[in-house]
Amino acid sequence: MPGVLVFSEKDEFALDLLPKSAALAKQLEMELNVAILGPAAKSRATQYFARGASKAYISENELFTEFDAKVQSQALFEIAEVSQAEIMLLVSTKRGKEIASSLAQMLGAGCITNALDIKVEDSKLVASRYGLGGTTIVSEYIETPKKVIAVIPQTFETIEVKSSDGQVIDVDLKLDKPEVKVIERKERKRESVDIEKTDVLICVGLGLKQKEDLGLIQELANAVGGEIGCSRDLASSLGWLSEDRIVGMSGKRCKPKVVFSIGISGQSQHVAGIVGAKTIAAINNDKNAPIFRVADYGILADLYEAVPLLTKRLHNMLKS
Amino acid sequence: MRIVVCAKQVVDLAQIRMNRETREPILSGIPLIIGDIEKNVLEEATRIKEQHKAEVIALSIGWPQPDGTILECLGRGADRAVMLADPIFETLSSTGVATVLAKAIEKIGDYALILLGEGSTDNNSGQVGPMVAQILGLPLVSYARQLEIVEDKVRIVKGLEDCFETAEASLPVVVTVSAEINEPRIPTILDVMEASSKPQESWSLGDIEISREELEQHHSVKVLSNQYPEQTRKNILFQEELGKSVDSLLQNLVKEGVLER
Ligand SMILES: Cc1cc2nc3c(=O)[nH]c(=O)nc-3n(C[C@H](O)[C@H](O)[C@H](O)COP(=O)(O)OP(=O)(O)OC[C@H]3O[C@@H](n4cnc5c(N)ncnc54)[C@H](O)[C@@H]3O)c2cc1C
Repeated sequence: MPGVLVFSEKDEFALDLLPKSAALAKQLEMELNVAILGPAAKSRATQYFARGASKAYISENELFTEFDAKVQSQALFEIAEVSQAEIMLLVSTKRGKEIASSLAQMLGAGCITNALDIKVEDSKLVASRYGLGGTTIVSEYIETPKKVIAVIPQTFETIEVKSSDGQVIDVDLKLDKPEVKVIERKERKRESVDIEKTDVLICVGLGLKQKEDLGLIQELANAVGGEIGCSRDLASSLGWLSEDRIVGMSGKRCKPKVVFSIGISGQSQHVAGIVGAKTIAAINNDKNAPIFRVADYGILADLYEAVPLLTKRLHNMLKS
Repeated sequence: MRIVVCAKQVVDLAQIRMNRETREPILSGIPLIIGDIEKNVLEEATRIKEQHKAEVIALSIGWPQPDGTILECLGRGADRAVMLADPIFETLSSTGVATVLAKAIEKIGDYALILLGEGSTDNNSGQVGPMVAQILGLPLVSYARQLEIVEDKVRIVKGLEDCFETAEASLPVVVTVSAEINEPRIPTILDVMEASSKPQESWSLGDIEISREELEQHHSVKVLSNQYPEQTRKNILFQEELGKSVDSLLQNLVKEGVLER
């Protein structure tokens, strides 16, 4: 029976993707299988079965102890063959995209990465993703017999798990040794912020002149009880805030009740991260800033004047 | 050492507007420009050239002819350039683009380092780099934030979601770079003037021994629609005296119930 094969280099992401994959497999009348690679693959399979997988193709080959995109895609290529997979559903992490692309090339398959959603329409698997740098949503399907789709992590609702049985198949893989050697790995300092969950988000961008001025933004955040997010460059080029706070296509996609966008031009890649907000308010001193075109309310002003005033009024208002 | 830089021309995203009836982007008449990440790629190639003996060759495929992008590459440090233009490229999926690039890279030959962006400014799919590596049978190191050539190896710091990895691979190798890798310098007037006198070649599909039929198979992803998302924003701009603007904003936010009083 043709199958859907689900895989991620991180169990948690694959597990999140499984309930949705199970629903799609059912609609397409396919079997839902998973690939699990690396240490303790066999015992990890139980969680996959609890979320709808029928068969788990596993390998505890020691080459998987270190991640290597080529080794993993080679493994998936072989597993796709033995499991009769027609559709590979992967997770669009950075590593996931490397795997998806290499695998698609090996399979001669069409490939979609950064998928925002997938559904079955007229018995076709249709995926959507951002187009034109986050300006548009592209809806598309793959025409090759084999298909590779990588979905953005944690896109779908998770379900309650119920314990269920499945078949574990230990595959004997023929793998080449990795060509890339990892000599050091440094964990990123993680901030314990969760800007995706806040009701009030204050987004700040390159309109800020110096790092010290973040104080103004923090005061505003304190006044409304909000979290601070930022445009990419403020974190990745300037390093004024941690990359956990980047909002947009390559950062977090947020759904607050209100976002205050401050000194941000509103380029599409950033806006993709705030379109889910109920209300968008923007402060910018350029009348033509694109952010005003996607905002509900805009204030045309210098942020250095507007932000302190806003903070003061909010203090008075929320106190009374 | 020979470095091949793959550069993509993209539509100038800042100039696209929406067709109000269909919600589709209006693309006709929008200028084609070099992508953002390409500037980082060229900067990195130029930096390597400043430290080692290296020749940088820019490669761009596209339709219409990516001559503006090629000129930009030459102004940003490439020594010479190769371009391919064909209407078939407009609808080619990533596997097809990677196939054409790989063939052209093979024809260029004698390469040590192939540099691409981690994802293009328009689609950002991140697929082409890994695919090129796969086709050429070369090691792949993606998401480079630091790149160093150490004898016959590259040493790269990769930026991943949860960690930074230092990785090493032997040349020749395919590397995709992240925007964080450098701050591209702005070409001087002299750079721009010199660019047009640097060697450029235009190749056809025949030159890289690829047939149209073969490429047709790479129309593997079919677009059903490409539209602006539904947008029901109010677009109210307060531009009166600042105090009044701030009050109006807050009144509206309270009325909408998005701010708890
Ligand atoms: C593939 C790709 C992915 C990307 N992903 C993301 C992403 O996920 N998130 C993201 O944010 N970006 C992303 N970017 C980058 C994005 O394209 C923009 O470069 C970035 O969002 C711009 O940040 P900004 O608005 O802070 O800066 P700018 O564009 O420089 O805007 C600064 C704004 O501040 C205003 N300003 C200046 N001074 C003042 C003042 N005193 N008072 C008020 N306003 C002032 C200016 O008018 C201007 O509008 C991505 C780019 C690419 C190519």
